[in-house]
Amino acid sequence: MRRVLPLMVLLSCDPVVEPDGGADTSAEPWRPTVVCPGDQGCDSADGPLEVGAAAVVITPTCYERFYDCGEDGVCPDDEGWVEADSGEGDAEWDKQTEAFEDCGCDRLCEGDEGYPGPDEGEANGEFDAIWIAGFQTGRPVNTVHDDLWARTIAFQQGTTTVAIVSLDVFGYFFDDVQEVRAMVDEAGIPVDHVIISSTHNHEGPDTLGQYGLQIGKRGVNDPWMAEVKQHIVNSVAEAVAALQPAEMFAVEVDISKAVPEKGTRNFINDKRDPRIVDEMMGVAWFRAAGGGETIATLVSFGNHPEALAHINNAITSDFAHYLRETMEQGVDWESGPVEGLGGMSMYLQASVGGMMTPLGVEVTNIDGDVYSAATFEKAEAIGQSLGTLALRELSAASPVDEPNLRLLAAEMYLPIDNHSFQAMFLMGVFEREAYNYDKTANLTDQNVPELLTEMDLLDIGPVRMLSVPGELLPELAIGGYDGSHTNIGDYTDPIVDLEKEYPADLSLAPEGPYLKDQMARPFNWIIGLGNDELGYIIPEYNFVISERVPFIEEAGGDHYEETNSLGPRTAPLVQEWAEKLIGYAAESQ
Amino acid sequence: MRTLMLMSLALASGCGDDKAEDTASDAATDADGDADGGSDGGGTFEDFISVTDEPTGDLTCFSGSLVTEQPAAGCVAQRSMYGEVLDFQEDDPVDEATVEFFFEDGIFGPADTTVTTDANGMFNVEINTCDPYTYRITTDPVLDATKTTIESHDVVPNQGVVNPSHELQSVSSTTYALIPTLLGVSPKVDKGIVAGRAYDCAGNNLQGLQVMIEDASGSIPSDVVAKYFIDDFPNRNQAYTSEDGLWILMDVPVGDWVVKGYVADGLGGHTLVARTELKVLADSINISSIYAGIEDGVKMPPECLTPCN
Repeated sequence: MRRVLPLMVLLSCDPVVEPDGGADTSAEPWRPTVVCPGDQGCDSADGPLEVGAAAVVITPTCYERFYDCGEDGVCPDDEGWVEADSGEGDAEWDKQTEAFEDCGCDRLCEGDEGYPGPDEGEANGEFDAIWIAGFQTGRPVNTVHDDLWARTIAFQQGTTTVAIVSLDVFGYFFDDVQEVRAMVDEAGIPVDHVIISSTHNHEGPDTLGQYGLQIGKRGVNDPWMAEVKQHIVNSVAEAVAALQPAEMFAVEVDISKAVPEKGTRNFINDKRDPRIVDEMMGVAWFRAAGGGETIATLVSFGNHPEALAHINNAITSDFAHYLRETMEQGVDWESGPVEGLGGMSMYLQASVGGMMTPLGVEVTNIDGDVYSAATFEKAEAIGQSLGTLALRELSAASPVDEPNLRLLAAEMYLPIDNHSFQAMFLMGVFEREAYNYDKTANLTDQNVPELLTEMDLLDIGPVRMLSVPGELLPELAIGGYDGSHTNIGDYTDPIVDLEKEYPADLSLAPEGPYLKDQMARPFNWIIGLGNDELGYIIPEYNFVISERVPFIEEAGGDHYEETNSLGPRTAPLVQEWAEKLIGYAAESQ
Repeated sequence: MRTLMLMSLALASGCGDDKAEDTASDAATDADGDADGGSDGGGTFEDFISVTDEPTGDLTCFSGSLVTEQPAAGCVAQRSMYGEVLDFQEDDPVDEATVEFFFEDGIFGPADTTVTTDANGMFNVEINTCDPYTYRITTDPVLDATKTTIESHDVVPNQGVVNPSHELQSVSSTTYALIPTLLGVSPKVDKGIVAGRAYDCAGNNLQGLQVMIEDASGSIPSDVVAKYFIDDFPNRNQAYTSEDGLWILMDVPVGDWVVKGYVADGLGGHTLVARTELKVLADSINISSIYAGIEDGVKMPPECLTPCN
């Protein structure tokens, strides 16, 4: 925690707030905000591990559609259409030229089959859209390909109960997480801690704010967000209600070996130097004790769910949908079927930052078919292949002997150094509380707002999970500056292209041990976008911003991620707080 | 996370010559658009003017005192002007915009003429060439699409018998909010924004100028923030006009103000090289560029400085 000089407190109109378990201001040893077992209400973690799972649909149902017909407003099925014109088929709504159906929530207008009469938003003259997050602004939902979910796995041991929720959304702010936790408490659901991670889905509704109609216009649909909160609560409640004694299996898969000539590039195109990819996919399987039915499977893997790219108006959870479906139901490959495990499958985002993406990937699936275009077939190929690799590895796994459960959580502040993010807060695009600055004064380098966020350390048997509040660049978790994690088969790209502007100077890169080494368990997972989404978490040595327009304009070379990060102080603070948690866990073992 | 680069805020092209920008509402003004205004006197010259780098630009027309320009004989002539209102950022036509013209070159009472743009952002108005005027552009406040945009001292050139065409610009609510917030300032709804460009004697952008604001009595308000741009983009660290000549004053109280432009004199002091006067309305953007050697912000186009047929 950054220490705050008394003078700064005096100068500030708002008192500087320290989170619980914050700065070392006394002789008391540092203690996380939540310690389970240990805290009141979760004093023990004795006995068998119990596991319950639930999946609740969060797909929005209330939205209007538009016609992506370009400047002339004429689409292929319209009379007079000759060829696509400017703006046609770009997935963006051009309010000047493109029409929308002012039919309200149900998308039914008078004359449509089954029209029940006017509903909310109908004929109000406004385009009541749900805006899709992830690439450009102004991308509305037009249909649903597959549902979005709040998927929960609850773990209980003795009086300690922890729930992990994976949301098929772009990101979920800590303020929303706190609201959900309060709702869980109010509902009387017996759970000590809820961890909410977003899959970082780029093909679902805006949940943060910056992907509305245009830059500066908040894109979150607040009524839907309220529904999502209740869905999460319901999902947690169902998972806790379904707790039962369980057996655990844990494995990891080196995905670079699936198609050796492509290495990790079969699934991930690392678009930022240094080209370092965490090739390990973590997998856990929980089934009813005594060899019973599957309760849940859990897959941890870092990659952007954006195989559909930016030319898509259909809600989908992208490759995560196919991955989970494969884990649950299997795949009937031409080369032979792979049986699914049943139960509920969860995909957990991992180290996804800078830049783990399927964009530009030519994926070869298990049958040897190749997909490169941004299509559902490509998302399917990625998800089914990853799922198959996970299932194959699990088939030879042995149960974990007496898995333990432990949870540590620590609140922390992170400064918003990014001018663009500051502007989004001032404009109300981002709606969350900021702290530790003078709200009556203009923002300067000396008056920087901070955000309250959280990091968690969760042990379940041999699996240790560290949640980070954003998109961690893999090298912060695994190092790899020596090329040991640049496994790209026959591709010849160097780890750093020195011809690019502002290339990463690997001589300045931090030395290990790195986070996963420090976590020091048989299986160490990063929970990406854990309890927050604060953008990219970038190593300080390679953090480069434009001098001309800091944070808003990209610096040359591979430095896009800096424009969507809190700033250069984030990674060191995340590292510091991770070490505190890991250190506390070691000392209190 | 992935998003497109924030747009290039080409404020440059919107300020000065034949373009306008931004917006405001008339909160805190009386029926005439006037406000008591005035400075609280809490500001100082040094709050605004500190540049030591010498200016870059042609200042040969500046002899030490500021002047006003008058149109040459025959240049003030009534013409039917075809106008178009464009969104400052997107360059899209702004339909159903209300454009008010104040031929006294200030918002003194009701507008002399009011027109409404058609679906293509077009309008037609009878106007005097080479005669400075002020215009104000508004759209339906319910839509919250634009802010009131006011430009003072606009001048339409005399092109002989040809009816002039002219582009006016309207600033969206988003752009209005984005510029100050990128500079770390949350714009206050009871105050306004003043922005413009600094020009040298050759009509090029004047680099190395700082602006300050005072009322008619010379009293300087506190809390007004002056900022500058680089390559048409607001920049927190730029201390004076860069090559783009752009400047902005934020959180300006409602009322009548004088904007002064200073450059370093090379002797440790500063020289006043340009000046303009304007009325500021609340929650609006008020455009008035400044020109080297010019006293009142009225810069006649070259076509207005030689006798017209």
